[in-house]
Formats: sequence, structure tokens, C-alpha cells
Amino acid sequence: MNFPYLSAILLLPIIGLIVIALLPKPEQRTIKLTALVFALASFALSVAVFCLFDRSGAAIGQIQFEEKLSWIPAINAFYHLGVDGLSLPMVILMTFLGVLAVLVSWNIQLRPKEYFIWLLLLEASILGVFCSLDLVLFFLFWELELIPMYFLISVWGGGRREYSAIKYVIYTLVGSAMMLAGILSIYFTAGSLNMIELAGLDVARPFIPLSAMFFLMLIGFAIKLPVFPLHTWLPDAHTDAPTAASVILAGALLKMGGYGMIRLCVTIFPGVALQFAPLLVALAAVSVLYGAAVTLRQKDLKRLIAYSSVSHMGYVLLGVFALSQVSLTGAVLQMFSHGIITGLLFAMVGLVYDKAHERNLDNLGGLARQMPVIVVVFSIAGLASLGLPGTSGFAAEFITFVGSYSSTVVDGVRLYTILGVFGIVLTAGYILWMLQRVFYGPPLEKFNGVPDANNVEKVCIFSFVAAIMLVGLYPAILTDVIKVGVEPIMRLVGS
Amino acid sequence: MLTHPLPLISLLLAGLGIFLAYAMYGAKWLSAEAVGRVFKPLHTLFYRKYWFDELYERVIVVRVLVDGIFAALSIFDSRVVDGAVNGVARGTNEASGVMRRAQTGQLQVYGIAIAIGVIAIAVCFYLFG
Repeated sequence: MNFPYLSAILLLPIIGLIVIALLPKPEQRTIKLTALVFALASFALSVAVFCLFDRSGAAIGQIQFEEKLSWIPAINAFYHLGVDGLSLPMVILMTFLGVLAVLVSWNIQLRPKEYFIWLLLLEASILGVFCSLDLVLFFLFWELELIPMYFLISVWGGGRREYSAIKYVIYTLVGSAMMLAGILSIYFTAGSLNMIELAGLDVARPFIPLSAMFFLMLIGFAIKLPVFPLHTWLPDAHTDAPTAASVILAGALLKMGGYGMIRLCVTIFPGVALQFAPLLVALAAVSVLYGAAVTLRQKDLKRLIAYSSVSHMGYVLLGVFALSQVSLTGAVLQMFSHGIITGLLFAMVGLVYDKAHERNLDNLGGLARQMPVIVVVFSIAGLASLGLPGTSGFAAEFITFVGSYSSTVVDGVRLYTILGVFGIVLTAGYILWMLQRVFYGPPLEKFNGVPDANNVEKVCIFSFVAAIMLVGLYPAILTDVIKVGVEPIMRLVGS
Repeated sequence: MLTHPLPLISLLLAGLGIFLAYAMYGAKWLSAEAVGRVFKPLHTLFYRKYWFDELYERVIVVRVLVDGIFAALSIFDSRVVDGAVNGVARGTNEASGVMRRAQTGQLQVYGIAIAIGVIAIAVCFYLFG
């Protein structure tokens, strides 16, 4: 039997948290190093999977690194893991962010043992969502992720943390309830929970209309992505979460929504997706422009970055429901790219707040003198976010727009693509204005003696920059993989 | 042969402009400042580029977009979109506050409710079934 790579990737964070839990009266340093070692091991294994992944034409539509064990025979549920071109980039993204989230949390003083336990559980549950090929297992991980995130926000957060944490949990649970109804109706219709077998579900007598199942699932994912008007949990949760939780929330957790849309909504119900695509691409354009417009009004640095995610996730929705090979590739690349860019932006906001103890844009200014390294990296992250060529943001958005504009299967997609492109102009507006208000202008006396990034922080933020540049300069490193996952979906959609 | 005099006129005007520019800045026959003073309002208009920069910056970007439409959307976002979410939560909370009054714990009240229910079902069966 082959080495069970995916189980190992999933289990390493869990073993890590058990080790941390069992350490008797540990030193803070021991806890952090343990968390780091297990996160790194998980990342190293996912890189190994990435290198071993078969990108050739023979691999199209094939699930790789598959593991399948009977789990609940009564309902035909399996412990079924596997990756293809869609999920592998998300797995890499999560393990990468997992390592950096530990580094970002290096200064945590409050109850570090519990903190790193929750952080590792969060990582494991998100990885589970991306690796699962069984609907029940998928749903289990989807729900499991709420618990660590709730505690991370409500205990280690700031601002109105209890409000934001409970709002996040209830909002997501509403979506999950609909998703569960969707999963059950799929099961009653097809008698299977295998996400791969269910592709292109076509039965004469469905339990409820296919479009109803499609929307039950879609709403759950649309809350997570998020899509206007289901986005208002996001700015609260992102703003009040501790830095590492914000990094994972924006970086990996939102992608569960986009991934679910492609894997379950589009793949299982290609016909329904095609039918409602015009509506959804219109909603995507609204999300992009509305999100960007509201971002421009934010006074809190962290809230500003949080709102920008609404706008950027609109591109994902546009790419997914433009339903062309190129647009879907762009959407998956955009998910990865947004993960590392916004992850870095939140890490930078955390650093600025850590050092200057100020997040209100009206009270910030002139910090470029005090923190030269931070200003450079923050600017790189900002420019990547607005899609500067050479960064992953450009590659992803460009591919998404080209693919959406040239899509032939969705009516009116050209108009909505053009509208979406204007989002880039607004992004340039809020990013550059934000950088100007935080870092430029006359240096303020109250920030004298504010330190720059230390060595641990530098390792962390430079890793982000390296990833952004790598994907920006050579996007094929990912698009080769994504292509293998997108092509079978295109065959289902028939474009 | 030209069919219309207009192109000729514009050509002539352009030529004059080039000559005027040469006279003022090249050969310096005329002082640019002096000409500017004579045609003060026109000079200011051209010098400020018809105030297009100000129009974009102050009116379109700040007034119309950021402080106008975007501000309105921002208020819409917190009051209407988020307000609806919080409203659902408050509605649930208040509705449960009302409904809990029905749970008095008095078995007689529950008995009456059950009796009314049974009669209602019986009547329905008699009428429709």
C-alpha cells in the first residue's frame, strides 16, 4: 500500500495539538516550537504531494493520492480522501498559511497552550474540507472548523469579539443547515455520498428539483465566500479576530466557499449552474463594485482589508460562473493568490498595530521612517492586491477576466466582466490611499521609537512575498495543476 | 479642390497658433507674461486646464463618489444589509420572549389546548375528509 500522504497531512496538526495538550506545564517556547514543527511537517508533506502530482494529460479527471475506507456502512459513508487539480492548490495554500500563522502568533502571551491547540485544530479541519471526497466527511470538517474559530475570535480577539464570534458561527450555521438539507436531498436522490461519482447528477425523479438542491448548497457556500448581500459577518469577524485567525480566515477559510461552489454546485449540477449563471455573474459584479466602494469608506485599517476581500472574492464568483475553462482556472488561481496576498496584508496590519498600537487611519501617518521593512512589504502586498504585473494578483485577475470575457456559454457575461474590471480601479484607489495615510506624510512624534519588524516577523513576511512573486512570475506552476482539475468540469458543462 | 472652407480655416488657425508660439517663446518678439496679462481670464482658464483636475479631484472623486455614492452604500451596508441580519436575530429573540409566556407549566391549560386541537382535527375530518 502506498504511503497515505493526505491522511498524514491531516493528522500531523492533530498529533501536534495532542502533543501540546499533553505537555505538562510547558514553556511558552516549547509550545510554539511544537506547533511550528508539526505545521512545517504538514507543509513539507503537501509540497511532496505537489511535486509527485501527475500533471500529464492522462491525469485529467483522475483523483490522485486516493484513500478510501468504509466508515458508516449503513448510509454508504466512506473515509474518502483524495486531491485533484482543484483541491491541491487549496491544500498547499492551507499548509503554507498554517506555518505562517504559527509564526505570526509568536508573541502570543495569553493562554498560549489553548491558543495553539485551537490553531492546529483549525488547520486540520480546513485541510479536511479540501481533501474530503465524501459528502458526510466534507460536512463534518466544514462544521468542525467553526469551533476553533469561535474560540480564537472570542478569547484572543479584540473589539466586539464575543459579538463577532457568535455572529460568525450563527451566520455560517444557517448556511450549513441549508447545505445539510442539500446533501441529504442529494443522498435521497442518488443514494451515494461520493462527490466524484455524483458529478453531472442526472436522474428522472429527483427527491426535490435539482435547482432547489443547487441553491441549498450554493447559499451555504455564498455565505462563506462571501457574496453580497450575505457578507456582513466578514468585516466583523476579520476585524475582531487575532492576527493569525484573520490570516487563516481571509487566506484559507473563504476559499472553502469558492471550492465548494466548483466541486459541488457546478460539478454535480452543471445544467442548473449553466441556467442560473447569468444571475450569478451579475451578483459577482455587484459584489466586486459594492465591496470596493464600501472599502473606500473604512476608517479602520483592519476593517479596510477585511472589506477588500468581499470585492476580491467577487472575481472568484465571476470566474466560476462564467463557466469557461480559462475563467475557472483564473478563479482557482485567484483563490490561491488572494489567500497569500490577503494573508500577508492581515499579517502586516497586525504588525503595524502591534508596534504602533493604532489602527485608525485618521490617527496614523508618517510611519515609513520608523518601519522601513514593514512599509516595503506592506506596499508589495498592496500592489499585489491591486494586480501589479509580476505579482500573483495580476496573473490571477488577468486570467479570470480574459476567461470570463471570452466565455460563450453565459449570456451577458461580457458586460459584467467589464464592470468587474472597474473594481481594479477602485482597488488601486483604496490601496494607494491607505498606504499614503498610514506610511507617508510628515512623521508623527507619538510614533518615535516604534520598532520595525524583528527577525521572526521578517522570515514570515518574506516567505509571503516569495510566494506572491513565484506565482506572479511563473503562474504555470499552479495553472498546470489546476488545468487537470478544470477540464473534466468543462466536459460536464459542455463548453 | 476643397469642397468646404472649414478645414482651411482650422489649418490657418493652427498655423497662426504655431506662429504665435514661435513669436512668444522662440524668437521672443512678444513677452508671454504681457500677453497673459492682457488676456487675463482666458490665460487663467487655459493655465488651469479648464479646471478639469479640480473637477475630477474635488467634485467627481470626493463629492460624488467617496462622500456621495460610496458613503451612501456604506450606510446602506451597515443599516440595511447588516440591519436585516441583526433584525432577524432580534426578531427571533423577541418572538421567543412572547412564545415563552405560553409555557405556564399549568397542566390544565395544556389540557385545554390539547382538547381544542383534537376537536379542531375532528371537525376538519368531518368537513373535508
